[in-house]
Parts: sequence; C-alpha cells; structure tokens
Amino acid sequence: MTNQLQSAVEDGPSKADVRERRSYLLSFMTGYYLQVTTAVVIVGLSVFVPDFGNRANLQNIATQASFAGLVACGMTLLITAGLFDLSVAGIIAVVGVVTAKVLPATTIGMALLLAIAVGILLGLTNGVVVTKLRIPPFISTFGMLNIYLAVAFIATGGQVIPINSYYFQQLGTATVAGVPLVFIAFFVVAAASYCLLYRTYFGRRLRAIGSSEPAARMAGIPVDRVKILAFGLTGLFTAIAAIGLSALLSSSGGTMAKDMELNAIAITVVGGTALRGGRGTLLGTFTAAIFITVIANALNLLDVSSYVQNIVTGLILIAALIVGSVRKDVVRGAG
Amino acid sequence: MSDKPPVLEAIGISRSYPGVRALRGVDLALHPGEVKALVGENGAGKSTLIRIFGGIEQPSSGIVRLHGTETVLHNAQQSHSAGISIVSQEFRLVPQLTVTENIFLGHEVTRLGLIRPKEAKRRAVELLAELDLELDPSQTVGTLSIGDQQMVEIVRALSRKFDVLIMDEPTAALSGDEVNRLLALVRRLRNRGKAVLYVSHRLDEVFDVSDGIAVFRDGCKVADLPVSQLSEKRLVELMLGREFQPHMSQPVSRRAAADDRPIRLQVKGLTCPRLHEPVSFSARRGEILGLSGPVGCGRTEIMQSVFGMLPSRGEITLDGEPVSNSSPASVISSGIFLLSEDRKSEGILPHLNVLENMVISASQRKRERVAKWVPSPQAETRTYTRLKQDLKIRVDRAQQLIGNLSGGNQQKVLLGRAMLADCGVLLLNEPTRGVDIGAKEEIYHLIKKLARAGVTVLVSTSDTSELVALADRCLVLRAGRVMAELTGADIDEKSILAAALRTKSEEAAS
Repeated sequence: MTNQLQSAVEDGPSKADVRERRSYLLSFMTGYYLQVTTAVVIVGLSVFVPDFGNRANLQNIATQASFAGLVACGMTLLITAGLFDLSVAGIIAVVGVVTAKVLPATTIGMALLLAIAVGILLGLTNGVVVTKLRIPPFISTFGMLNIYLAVAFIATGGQVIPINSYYFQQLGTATVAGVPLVFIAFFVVAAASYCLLYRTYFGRRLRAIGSSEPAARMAGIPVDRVKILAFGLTGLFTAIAAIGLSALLSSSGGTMAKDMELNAIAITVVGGTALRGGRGTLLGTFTAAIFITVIANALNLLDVSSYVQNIVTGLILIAALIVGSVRKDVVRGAG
Repeated sequence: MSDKPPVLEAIGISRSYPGVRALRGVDLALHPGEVKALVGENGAGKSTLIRIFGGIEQPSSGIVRLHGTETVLHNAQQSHSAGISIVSQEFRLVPQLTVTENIFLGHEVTRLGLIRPKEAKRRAVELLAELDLELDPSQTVGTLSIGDQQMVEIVRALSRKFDVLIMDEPTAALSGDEVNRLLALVRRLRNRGKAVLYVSHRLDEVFDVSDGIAVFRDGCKVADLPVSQLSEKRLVELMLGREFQPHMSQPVSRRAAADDRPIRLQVKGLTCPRLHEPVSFSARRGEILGLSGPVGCGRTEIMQSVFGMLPSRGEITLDGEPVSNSSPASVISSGIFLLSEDRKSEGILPHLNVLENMVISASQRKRERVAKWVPSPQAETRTYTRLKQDLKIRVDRAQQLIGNLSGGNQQKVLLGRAMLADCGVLLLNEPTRGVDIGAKEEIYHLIKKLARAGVTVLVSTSDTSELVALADRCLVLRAGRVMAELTGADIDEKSILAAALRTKSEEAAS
C-alpha cells in the first residue's frame, strides 16, 4: 500500500462535506485502480465469455495465479529494497527435483521440510553472493539461475522425475471450501509479507534500504544482513511455489518453471511496486497475479494465439509502468 | 588596463531564492589582461554570481554584457561559446575516463564526427605542459590524487577557447608547489590579454596574483579596489563588515579552558584521505567542539573516518572503550551518531514518512521478545509527538513523506533520529546547510540543549558564525592540517578566519 493511499484511508471523510467525499472517492479510485480494474474485468468476462465464470475455470485461475504470485511476493520484498532475483526458476527446479527424489524414501512431512530448507538455503546463498561478493543482483542472480538449473539437470540426467504419492499430489489439487490449497498458501504468504513490510522493523529497514541505501547505512541499518534475509525469504516463498507446482504436475524437472522470474517481476511491476525501490505493495502484487492470469485465461478461452497473448501481456506491463511513473511524482525528493 | 573596454560585465545583478536574496544589485566588470580576485565569506554570493556567468542560473534582475553587448546566458553551452571558461569548486570529472578524455569531455577533438585520439592526446600534452604537469594523459582520472584531479579540472577549462577564465577556489586541494605553478599560469594568461576572475579564501594568493579585489558580503559588493589600496587587515574587515559584532546568540558563559569534565571521545593519530598528517583530539562530556576551515581542508574526512565511512587508521575511544569504526552500524552501536552534510542523499529516506524517518535508528537495546521485531505504533507515536514538540518540527501529519518538508524541518527530524539513537557523541556536518534563519537559531538552541544534557557534539562547518554561536572549543584546519585550536572567548570570526588564512611566512615561523 502506498503512503498516499494510507493517508487517504486514514484521513477518511471525517468532515463529511460533499467535496471531501468526492476527493476521497477519487483517491480511492487512483489508489485501488488495479483492484477496481480487475473486478470489472472479471465481472465483464463472466458475462460475455462462455465457460469463464464456471467453478472449475475460476479454481483453475486461482491455482495458476498462485505459483508466480508466491514468487512475486518475495520479488516484491526484494524490489522494494532495490534488489532483484532472477534465479527463482532455478530454485524451483532444484527444490522440485530434491522433493521428487526424496519422496519415495521418506514421509511427506520430511520431504516438505527438506524442500523448504533447500529453498531458504539457496535464497540465502543468493544474498551472500550479492552482498559479500558485491556483485550486482542482476548479474549475480542470473549466474546463480544457470548454476541452479544445471544442478537440477545433472541430478535428473535431463529427465522429468515423476511423483506418484497421491497425498503429495493433493497439495496441488485439493480445495478447501472450493478454494484451492495453493491459493490459500498464496493469500497467507501475501498477507504475511504485507505485515512484514509495514508492521516490522525488518520491513521498515527493507524500505529504507530501497529508498536510499547510503542514508540507510548512515542510519545504522545492518544493510547486508537485511538484504540476505530478504533473499532467504524469497527462497522460502519460491520453495512453497515449487512444492505446489510439482504436486500439480505430479513431476519435477529442470524446465518446470521456465521464465518464472519474468512472470514474477511482471506481476510485481503491474501491481505497482516501484522498480527503483522504496515502495512496495503486496495488495498490488496479489491483485496483479490474479489480473494477469485472468487475462491469459480469457484469451485462451477465446482461442487467441499464444503470440497475441504475449503482445497483450507486454502492453499491460508497459501500461502499468506508465501509471507507475505518473504516480511516482507523489514521492518528492526520491532520487 | 581600464583603458580597454570590459570583456565581461555584470550590471545590477540580483538573484533571489525563496526566502533568500543571494545577490542584490551587483556590478562587476572584467577587463582583458586583468586578474580580479573575488573574496567573501561562505554564502556571500560569490558562487551564485559564478553560476550566473556559467549559464547555470538566471539572474532575477540585471544584465550580463559580453564585449559591450547585452547577452542572456541560458545554459552552460551558451556560456562556453561566449568565451567563458569556468573551473568549478566541485570536480566534474568522470573518474573512469582518462585524463585526455576528461579534458575534452563535451568538446571532443573530432573529424567527421569521429574522435581523433592521437590529436586529442597531443593537445592534452601541450595543455599539461602549460602547468608543468607530468601527468600521463592516458591515466584514468580516478587513480589520481585530489590535487592532480584539481589540475585536470583546470586544464579542462583551459582546453576551451576563452576570453574569460573564472576559477572558483582552485587551490583548495593543492600543495604549495602546485599553487605556485597555478599562479604562474594565471600571470601568463593575463599577459596574453585574458581576463581572470579568481575566487579564493587564501588571502596571500589573492594579494600575490590579482590586480583588483572585489569583496562580497551578504549578496552585495561592498568594495572593488585596486590591490595597492588594500591591506590584509583591511580586507578581513571588509569581508566581515565594519559593524562586526559578536554573534547575538553567543553563549553567555563559554566553558573555561581548564575543564574537569571527563573526556568522552578521544581520537589519536587518525589518518585518512586528504589529511596530510595524523590528527589527534579529544572532546569532553557535554562539550561542543567545532571543526572549521575552508572546503577541502579535511574536516569532513575526519568526521567520516570516525564514523566508519572512510578507510582510516588511528585509535578512537569512547569513555575509554575502544571504538571499532569498520562501519557506521558498529560505530552507532558504540554510541556515536553522525548527520551528513548531504541531507538529501545521505540523510532522509524519501519514501518513508516523517515518523519512520525519525525512529529508524532508535536504540534496540532495551527491547525484548515481540518488541524486538514489531514496533508498537502507540509507543512510536508517543515518542514522535514528544520530539515533534521539543524540536518544534512544523509538520501536519506523521504519515507525511519527509521529502515534502523544508530543509530546516528535515534537519530537525534527523536530529530527532540522532537523539533516539541514544548516542553520547553526536557528529554534525554542516548542520544548518540549506536551513533558513529561523530554523537555524532553533537548531543551535537544540544542539546546546543536547550538550547541556551531557552529549558531546562535534560540529564541522564552513560557516564561521555558526562556530561562534555554538562551539566551546574550535579546531581550525587548512589543507589537511590543524592550524590552530581556539578556546572560549578566543572563538570569534576574525580569529577563525585569520587562523585559516595564515600566510605561508607565518606558517614557516610557527
């Protein structure tokens, strides 16, 4: 949530004259433009596109939105701190392969614990490489992506490893009161990330680092430690996505999450998180994950070719950046 | 010289910023073959006039004449093509490029749009020879010493075609020998019929090289006399103003030199970039120690080294305990806090609101369990409200972004941040830069209040009146050396200025 937004919400229409109420509505619309757009699009598609509004399709959308959405929650924390992680597809591959390999030999609980531990470890490794070796995240995490993918390919010999455990598969397909399990996980992670970013010292420090790293350093913030922790959290969220994805696919392999980093960054940017850091919105990320999946799903139902779908995604991304640059003017004095 | 018509004239130039009038109706004429010195305290308006000549700022009123015709300089490019070349105070060099590339940056030696590296290098060698410089033209500028970088900056100004050369404190970072070579060059340029405007704090140079001296004070030109009609003493008086009075907010009782309060901060044999010799000093509990001297004298580097921002050697102790100055975070945890002179990029966190900016460094020592991770909004609001009143911060809402506040209010928020960090030593770099007069007095008041509460405060500033208003004791630096230590009633603008300007002969004698 942006500060502009917070202030709009807190100020509220306390003096309930009409002008103030109108400006409140206006700031609500500008603050929640993505949420309003997504709602309008979903309602419109349900009316006009056959099969869009049925239960199975909506569950499918919720599931599909969750994988990149989970990763995007971590990406939002990183981008808020002025960081990046291009290695997430590699983390998913390694976590997926490890899980698939150990599952026949151990309990599901142990496999899950191991998956989570591996995810966090790989994330922390990224953080150490970025901070201690002082390699810019763009380069270093791209390098780590290749390393992680190579490890996954070597471990599988280039094959896809099947997962036969019925209960494990349920993690990707089960629903609670009609809501897919992975979507619940996505929602919980998004909410937890919001609390982390805006209700804890850690989140405040992340935002401070993204806002001005020299100033944050001068204020005594242990910059490296905070950054490493943020990478570790991204590793954790990515591992959760990896578990859901391999459960849904009933298999794991090196290419299981191709282009995941680009999707996650696109979601984060469309959601309204500033690419230059300092400001992150988890509500935006949550909505954008759904929005982008809804659009892709509708285009599929309408038999639009995948190439045209890419054009649409590209246009949405550019539109989001334009909206973002207009809104950025609110932050004066930000470099 | 005045028989020739002036090449560059400023007539009735005024320049005002919101709330400040930096220049008020200034006239200045430069004739070919004349070296005019421009002197005055910081903030007298010298730099503003130079920026107007450079096309970087436009006068609010008044005109600039070039060779007798009225000219409007909209940007730096126009100023260059009008024949004005400027050596600015801040380096505008690109550290990754070579000496040659930097010299011709923006007006590269080209044929058919392609750079001619050999020709450029040949001309660079020629220009370097003018200053007897033995610099390798293909060396990258980032690897040069500060003094050599300054020389490259000067050569860069010489590489353009010019009738007027303006030098803004060109010798601040130079050694004695380099200064002599520079002054010789200025004389040669004069003999070739160029006009030179020479801005300097060092009065011996000014008397050495210039034909006439223009004195600025508070945005006005108060004198413009041939050098033969001036003495150093008279010049200092002109700079400070006849009606010079001790600062109105001068502390009633300065701490006596013999002080029995315990020593809080002790720095022994500190060496760091820009310092020519190791520096040692100490400051007592509740003492305000001033560091004075012109820009580039090393006082900023001393502060930054103590705070762990620059690599340094030496021994720092706080209340007898050694301080590890490997990073700002570790220095803060030992109880030393610094506020940078660069509030915009090293102070405020622009995306965070006023409250968060204030509490970001709050000491975590006393927090337990949940409170270690999750801030309590109620407690933070209480702290914020209390400090907002104490510091007289004028802001509507705690949720306002700090970037929208005035410089004075931003600085007060940062002072609040420093207070919450629970530190016994406060290092302040230019604490009132970009702060209006009213807020300035309030900030002085606050600093004194902190000192009375036992905090040791180091104030590094180029504003001498600030030290007169604040300091119990004052170290005066020049060119990387401590020139003098003033205490108590000895701290006045005259003696600070005199110590910083001490001529070479005195230096040799002492």
